[in-house]
Amino acid sequence: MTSEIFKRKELVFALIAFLGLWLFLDYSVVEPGVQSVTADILKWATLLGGFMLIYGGLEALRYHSKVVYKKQRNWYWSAYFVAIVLVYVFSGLIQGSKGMIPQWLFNNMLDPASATMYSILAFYIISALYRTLRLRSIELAILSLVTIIVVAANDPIITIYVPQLTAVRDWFISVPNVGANRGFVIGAAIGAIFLGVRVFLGRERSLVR
Amino acid sequence: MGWAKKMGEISSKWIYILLAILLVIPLLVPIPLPLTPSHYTMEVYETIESLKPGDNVLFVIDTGTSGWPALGPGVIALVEHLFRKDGVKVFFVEFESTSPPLVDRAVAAAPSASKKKYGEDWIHLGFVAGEETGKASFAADIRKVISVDYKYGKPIDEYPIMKNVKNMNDFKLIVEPTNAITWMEQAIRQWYTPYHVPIISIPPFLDVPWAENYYRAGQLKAYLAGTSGLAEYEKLLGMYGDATRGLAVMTTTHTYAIILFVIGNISYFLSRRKKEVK
Repeated sequence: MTSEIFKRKELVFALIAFLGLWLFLDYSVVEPGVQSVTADILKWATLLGGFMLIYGGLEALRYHSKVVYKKQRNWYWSAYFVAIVLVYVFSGLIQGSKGMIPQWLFNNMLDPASATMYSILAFYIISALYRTLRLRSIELAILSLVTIIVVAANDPIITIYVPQLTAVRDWFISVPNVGANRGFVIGAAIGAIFLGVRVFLGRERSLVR
Repeated sequence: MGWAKKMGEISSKWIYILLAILLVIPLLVPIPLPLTPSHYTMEVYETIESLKPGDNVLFVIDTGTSGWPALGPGVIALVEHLFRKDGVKVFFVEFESTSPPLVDRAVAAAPSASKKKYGEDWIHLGFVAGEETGKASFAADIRKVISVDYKYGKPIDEYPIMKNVKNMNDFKLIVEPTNAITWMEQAIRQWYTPYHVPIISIPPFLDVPWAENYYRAGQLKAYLAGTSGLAEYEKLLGMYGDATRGLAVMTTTHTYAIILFVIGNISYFLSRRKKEVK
């Protein structure tokens, strides 16, 4: 019976509304009492964030273990994932995060793999620039022209001969770009405020589905 | 197939091979390039120069391992500059989970680090979970989210540097290099807006136009823009680092990109003209 009470959506919405309004109050009112309670609320939220990291890791481990157990498609990649996670976690628990094995895994596996993933972008960008930036229409011509000006302005050899390019690039970034982006940001912020109000009023029910 | 059409259909394989060559050559054979620091770079430099002995700086490395190759040289240059400033105290903290080991890397690469004493001139507070909530929580009360340091696992109150440092009001400046612009936006929302602590950043290069919004609004004090910004900063400090080497790579690859753009469009117009004649 008690557990049924905690499952009630009204209770969840009341809690969300209370915490949301409290944090809003803290943002608007400088009152030491309010700030002290806010610090505690935020500490709980940070703890929850830590638990969510553990939960996310365990959930990924559970999913991939199942793939390995059932020998589903590409199961060997899942086996690789499970092995790495287990080695990393257990070596970290035994040796600490600065131990030899966790450090070796970080420096020689995670670090180069992450950097490689990011660096591959260069190849895709150059290929896309060659294949898609064709002057097929006025819109594409404008897009292409601005792109090439920005690319050229970031090329030190070109700016030696055409130093004005830097000023043109800066103008594109600080005037049309900022104007368009501000409209987008302000629009999204107003949307977020209304979404917040809907959540506080219990109208946004997708949260607890 | 006409030669005009062939020009527009160069195989990706050859485009990639040539790009790889153009990426590697400047790294092997240094190309000296002229550099004039932009006003963006000068603002970052002058902000750090204006710090006085006793000022506390919060250094948030949120580049992650993926962003380190691009942003790392800038992080090292900023750490070096802060360590050159007498009496300025640096507090490292991370909100991105793969970033904590990068602090040791940045400090080890900064030549002036040998003159600084851990626990007195700088401290590594470690990772705080929860992203934006973590940032808000850290700002409200550091001790509620961090009890021991990352480097030695000792209670933070045992270090003299932590004396009189309680929350975000005790910092003079925030430095946040980041591999995702959302990290910087969180810092603006949770640190600049409520506490008015100025932020300088190295945004991810693709997000430089987005960072400009906050810079123009005054919410971002200054930022280093792209590899050229990082190389300019190295020049200001008299360092020859990876950003300066990277600038030569930018020259070869950007010129290559422009040539490909021109080839692609010549091919497109010639092919279209042939069709019209037919």
